[in-house]
Amino acid sequence: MNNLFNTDKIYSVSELNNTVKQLIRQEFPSHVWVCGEIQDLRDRGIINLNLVQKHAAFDEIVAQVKAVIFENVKPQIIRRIKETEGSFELKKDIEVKLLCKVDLYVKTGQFSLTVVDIDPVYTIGKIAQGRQKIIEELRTKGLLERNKQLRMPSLPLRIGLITSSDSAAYHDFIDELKKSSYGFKVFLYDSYMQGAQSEQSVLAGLSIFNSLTEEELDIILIARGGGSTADLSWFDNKKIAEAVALSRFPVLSALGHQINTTITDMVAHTSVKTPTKGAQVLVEAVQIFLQQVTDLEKEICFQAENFVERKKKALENAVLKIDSGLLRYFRLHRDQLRDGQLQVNNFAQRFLTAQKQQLCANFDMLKLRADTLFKNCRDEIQFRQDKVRLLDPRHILKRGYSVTLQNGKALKSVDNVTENDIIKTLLFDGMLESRVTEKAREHEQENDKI
Amino acid sequence: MSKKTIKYSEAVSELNTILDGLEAEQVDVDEVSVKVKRAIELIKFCREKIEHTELEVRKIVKEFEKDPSKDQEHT
Repeated sequence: MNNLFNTDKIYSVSELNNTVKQLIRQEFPSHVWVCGEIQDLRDRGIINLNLVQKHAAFDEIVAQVKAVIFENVKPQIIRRIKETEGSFELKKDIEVKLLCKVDLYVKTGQFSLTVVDIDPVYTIGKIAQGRQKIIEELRTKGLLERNKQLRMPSLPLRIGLITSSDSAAYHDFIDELKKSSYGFKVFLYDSYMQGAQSEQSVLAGLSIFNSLTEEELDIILIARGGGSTADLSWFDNKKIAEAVALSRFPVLSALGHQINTTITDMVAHTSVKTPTKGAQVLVEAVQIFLQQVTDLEKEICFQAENFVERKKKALENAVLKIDSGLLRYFRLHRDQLRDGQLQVNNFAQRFLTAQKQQLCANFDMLKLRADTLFKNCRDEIQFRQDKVRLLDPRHILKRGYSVTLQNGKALKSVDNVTENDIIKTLLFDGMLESRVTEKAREHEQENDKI
Repeated sequence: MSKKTIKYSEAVSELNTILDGLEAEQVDVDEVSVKVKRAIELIKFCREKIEHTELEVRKIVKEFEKDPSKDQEHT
């Protein structure tokens, strides 16, 4: 314990600070490269910042040192950064590798670094790593393609525009829309498009537009005009990328870059290089829609005309068919009638012929019958005439028979006469008068009768 | 007896009766000549009637056959 008080030298504060300063200068006789993350950056001609080291796993500062960029070296450092491919901006959260003089400010006892140069390649590598990490994270969450899956509205007339109202981007975009003379409606969210407030500002714009309904808004456009490549790094922002990916409306990005693509571009529905181009995309979409409407109108007219024409044709065909059908019908029936008539004629002819033949036969038969009848009558009469001739008494008398009369009457029995009666005998050629002298009855004499 | 008032069939019938009577010898000799005379008369009447009718029929047939309205082809 005593040893503690046995020191010869007693320092004043300035002696002490100067001694430490000497020791630091001994330890760091030349410049050293120091790597760290920028925090608390203030640019008032002289740039003051804190260079910090964070815990590998947690977002927690484990070491910190002040650094100063004096005005004499500032232009050189900025030029170095700009000349490097990729470029960036000295700002919060980026990692830098600085060539520094380690020193102590005697007046305040503050230990600090005086920056004399920078290795921009280191930062660019770190930025690229950070970008890659964000991209991988978005990919893992399935957010890279999320907004692209939304359907591009066929008529994108209501636009939520996120940009700075006094920027060239805003004017370029609006002018291009006006040229089209279509009825676009632009809602502007006046946003910071660079600097530390960009993230909050753009996120607020996305949030407000996403609170609108689909009847109120069609598409969101994030536009930024010109500016340095370094400014683009504000859109390699994880939170903005997530908000864009999850937007209910398609997001069109027009961030005014020529070569690099920001993460915002990657997650956007469509990405174009400039706000003017963005406006053209929208105008083209409307043109296509109008063209489609015109085409549809033409198609409808064409189809309608076609339809009417076809129906007309069909009707005409039907009429023709009916005509030819009628012709065929009447021809058929006329033919049938003619056939029927022919058949009737034939039948009548045959019938009449048969009847005629029958009549002729009948007529012939009649003549024959008449002839026969007359012959029969004649024969019959002849027969009777012959009979009469045979029965005529004169005929019998001619053969030798005679008739005896008494008192003018035929004498048929001997019983009727007595002897001495005068009788008359009738002969063929005359008459005898005789007296009965004898009479005898003879059986055989019956044959004498006529 | 007048010809005009007697029919052919009646004439034949009367003739037959006379003939039947003559054949059956039912006719008195005194009446025979009268009957025969009547029979001859009837025969004459019948003959005339036949001849007349036949002539008439032939005439009708001939006229019918000459009729132009009658088709001759099938006769």
